[in-house]
Amino acid sequence: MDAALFDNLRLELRRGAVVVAVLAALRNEQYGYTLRKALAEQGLTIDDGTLYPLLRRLETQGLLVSEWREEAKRNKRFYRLSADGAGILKQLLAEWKSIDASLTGILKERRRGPSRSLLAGR
Amino acid sequence: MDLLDRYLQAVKFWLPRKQKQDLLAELSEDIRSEIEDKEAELGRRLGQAELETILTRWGHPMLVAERYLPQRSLIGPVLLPAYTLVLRIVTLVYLVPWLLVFLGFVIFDPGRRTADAIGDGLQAFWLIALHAVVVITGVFAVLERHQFSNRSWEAWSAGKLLKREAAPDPNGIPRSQSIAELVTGLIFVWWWLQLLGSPTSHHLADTFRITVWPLYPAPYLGILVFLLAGVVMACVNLYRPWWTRHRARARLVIDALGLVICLAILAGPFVDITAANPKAGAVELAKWANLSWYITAGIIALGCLGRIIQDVRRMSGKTPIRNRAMAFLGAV
Repeated sequence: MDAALFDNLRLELRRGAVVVAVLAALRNEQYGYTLRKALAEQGLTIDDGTLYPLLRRLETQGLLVSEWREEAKRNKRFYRLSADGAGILKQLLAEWKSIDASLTGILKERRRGPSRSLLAGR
Repeated sequence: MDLLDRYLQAVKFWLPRKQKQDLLAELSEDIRSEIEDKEAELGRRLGQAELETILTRWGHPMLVAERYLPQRSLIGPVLLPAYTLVLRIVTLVYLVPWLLVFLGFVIFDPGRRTADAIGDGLQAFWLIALHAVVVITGVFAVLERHQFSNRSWEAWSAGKLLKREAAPDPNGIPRSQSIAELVTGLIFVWWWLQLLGSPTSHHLADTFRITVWPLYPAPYLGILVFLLAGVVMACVNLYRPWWTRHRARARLVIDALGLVICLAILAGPFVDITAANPKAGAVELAKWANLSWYITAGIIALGCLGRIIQDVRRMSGKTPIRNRAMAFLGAV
């Protein structure tokens, strides 16, 4: 199998999931580096150059709020989920469950065999 | 200046101006946090190679900064097929014939076979091709910027396909037609403006002498007005894609002007192409050049006449004629 093709498809698949993961993780306030670490610990590694623009975009869309604050004698930018973001996260998680259920159904159908499902459709 | 500072400076250069300091402060802080974390894990300061590994993973400074910029494209995927179609049409209808005429001169005229003459010809061709691409790209970039495509695409409904098949709207103006008229009109305006400053008599390598109408510059300005009016009409039609009586009246005036110009050309002599050097078979070529010039003027005159008929019908509330002859003349 073409590794580059797989990487591209994997990237596409993960793109939407990363947004949901970031919104979910920011129910607790964090700054960029700790957020990246927290996601990596859960098995969701995000490219450094992708996370920060994503945070800015989500903030511009009103889904996150941020503030500069001093911690350990250094200024850091902390992000957290906004009220709008919480509403959107709820809807996205419902959508995620719906996609998961659909995919599970499709995979079960496939295991039963294509000829049977064709006959069932008549 | 250490490696991290150099890296941050390089990223800063490409960051959007308004957010430069804010973005840089955040990036700097998070990279420093990562470095400190790693140093705490190892129990010592990071070496140059380890720092390089971290920064290399962050990526090329230009790529890091580029991700903060809004996603932009000069010509988006919606207009791209139309853009490539217009480029192909201009190549086939204008650039390829230009090249063939140039090759004809090189073959038939010994004076054009020198390295200098061929070099000049190819240079002129390159400039013409470049200008055509720049003008077409510019027009499509303006359309993209004003999001013309999005509005018209959103206004579309599948029912329109059936309506079109059942009975085409006689007062509708296809936007593709307006775009094509606008782009070709702009190219011809540009070309005509280049000619405005030229002398009225040209000698081509002592083989041909081309003399334009002695009433210069009146005919040039008349044609320029005709072309500019066509461009304005195409712009209006693009944003208001249906005929009104006022617009039919305006086009009637434009086409009447075009018809008068074409008839004046046919009455001649608007352009006189004569052979200055009878030895090179130029007399025969001059005859063909003259004939092709008159045929072109005749076809344009017929097109203007066809459109005048349609304009008069629209103004009097009648349905315009729809047949192959009118379509061939560009008068549907």
